[in-house]
Amino acid sequence: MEETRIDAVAAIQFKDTFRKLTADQDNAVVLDLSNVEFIDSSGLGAILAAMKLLGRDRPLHLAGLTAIVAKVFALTRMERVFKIFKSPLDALKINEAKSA
Amino acid sequence: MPDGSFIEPMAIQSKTSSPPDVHLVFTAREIAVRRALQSTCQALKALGAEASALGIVEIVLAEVTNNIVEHAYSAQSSGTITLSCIKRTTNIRFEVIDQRNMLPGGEIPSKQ
Repeated sequence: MEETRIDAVAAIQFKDTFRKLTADQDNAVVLDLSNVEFIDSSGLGAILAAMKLLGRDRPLHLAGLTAIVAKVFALTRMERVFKIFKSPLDALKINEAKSA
Repeated sequence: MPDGSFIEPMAIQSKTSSPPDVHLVFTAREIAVRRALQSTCQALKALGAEASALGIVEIVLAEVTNNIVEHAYSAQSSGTITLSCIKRTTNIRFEVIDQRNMLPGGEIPSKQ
């Protein structure tokens, strides 16, 4: 699926794809948002739903926020809900360091 | 996924003609909203609006127009949204019109 927006159009597809990709595993998940050029409240809702879907024992981290996506997370104070990394690689490094 | 056949951009006028700079009439559905936002931002960019301002414009317009899709209209009774904007030197003026349910009492609800 090639999308640069997580908006009212894409929210349901995002949730479905997320569910499929993360099923049958129990590790933490890093969501790479570096190709996302726009997100609206439906998209934020979808990411929150994704976080809840993983459950308490599987954290959802975010990485690669573009300027506009970072702005939406700041405006809605959702940046406090997630650990946000510069890149997916940074998130993985920290995860590895933790488990080493 | 439906194509864009039900979005009807009536006119995107250039700045040399009379205002508004952007005037769009489109179906109150998410996919049409998305296309209208993209058209509006492209037109404003061509008129010299800054990228940072366009980001804010797109966020606000998305919330306003998606609220119309979700609350003013419904799955059973869709209609059109009219979006106009005028770019001025220090600001951009927007007008968004739907043809459906009024706010209760015709006023913005007070904060609970």
